[in-house]
Amino acid sequence: MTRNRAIISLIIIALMLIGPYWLYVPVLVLATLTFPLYWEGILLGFVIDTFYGLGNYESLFMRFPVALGVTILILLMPLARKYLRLNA
Amino acid sequence: MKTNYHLKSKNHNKPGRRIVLLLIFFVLGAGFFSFFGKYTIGLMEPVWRSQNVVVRGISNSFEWLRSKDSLIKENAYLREVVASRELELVALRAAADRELRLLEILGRTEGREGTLASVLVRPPETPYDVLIIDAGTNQGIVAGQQVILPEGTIIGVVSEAYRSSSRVILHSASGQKINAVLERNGAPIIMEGRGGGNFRITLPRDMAVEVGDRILSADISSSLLAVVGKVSLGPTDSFKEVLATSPANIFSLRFVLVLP
Repeated sequence: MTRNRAIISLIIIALMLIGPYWLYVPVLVLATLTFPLYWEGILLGFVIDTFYGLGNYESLFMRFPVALGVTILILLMPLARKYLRLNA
Repeated sequence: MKTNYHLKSKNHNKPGRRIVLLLIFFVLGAGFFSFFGKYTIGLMEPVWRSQNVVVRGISNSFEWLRSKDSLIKENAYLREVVASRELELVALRAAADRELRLLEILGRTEGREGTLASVLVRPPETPYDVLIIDAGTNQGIVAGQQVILPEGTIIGVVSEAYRSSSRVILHSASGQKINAVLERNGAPIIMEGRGGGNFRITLPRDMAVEVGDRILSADISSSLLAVVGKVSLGPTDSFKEVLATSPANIFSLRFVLVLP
């Protein structure tokens, strides 16, 4: 599992460097949905926002929307698993 | 010992702890990347530069696969387009000369010398309408400078300048607003960025606007900002919604000019 997480993270980094956003953002979201507590996704979100974000925003939440989105998704995943019975 | 009741879970407060840990992680990460982000951009520059060279090389190497027939057709079409554009250019040049003479008389001539920069990263690599260009503080670039195409179209503004690169936010980025003038009736308007090189404008119902109308910048240069692409108006609406598109293809930009 740890190996898969690392491989997917490396794939996302590679896509981020050479691919369009409509490729690496969905892969990041899928990885967040698939792996439990995918904290690497938050880091990748920060990297995406740092490289390609709008920059210069007063609020941290506005400055890092992708990282914030991934954090919220990770927080919501246990609820989704519980109510949608994803682990069943 | 046999128990016939539920044992209290030791992980009862785990979700709460997880939320707190993730929020701390987010805040720490945000602080770290806010402070050290500009240095990582510097580290990425060589990658982006080499990537541009590689991608261009690959796309050129596939050219020979195209058929001779399609190339002949494309060549003929492009000849027609060039001839048509040359005619338009001659007419525009005459008008521009007249305008320049008028501005000279009024003492408002404006130099368009700027710093030419190559675009390292453009949409769709960036999820927002953001460019990374290869000119920075070393070339005298500072935040707030206007960025235009070599043809004169205003496209954005420098938001952050690093040592040898800069971040440019296009006016079409979501949430960005810019003052403009609708050429048809000279009405001042506010264009709101919608991403992907598109703008949204809300106008009173009675204001005349048609598809193809030009939208110009509000400054004295009156540069082309966008062209009206769609006008939506419901029978009971007080306002009409106009969608405009930047004449620049932001997905294939190669060079821009940063004005002083």
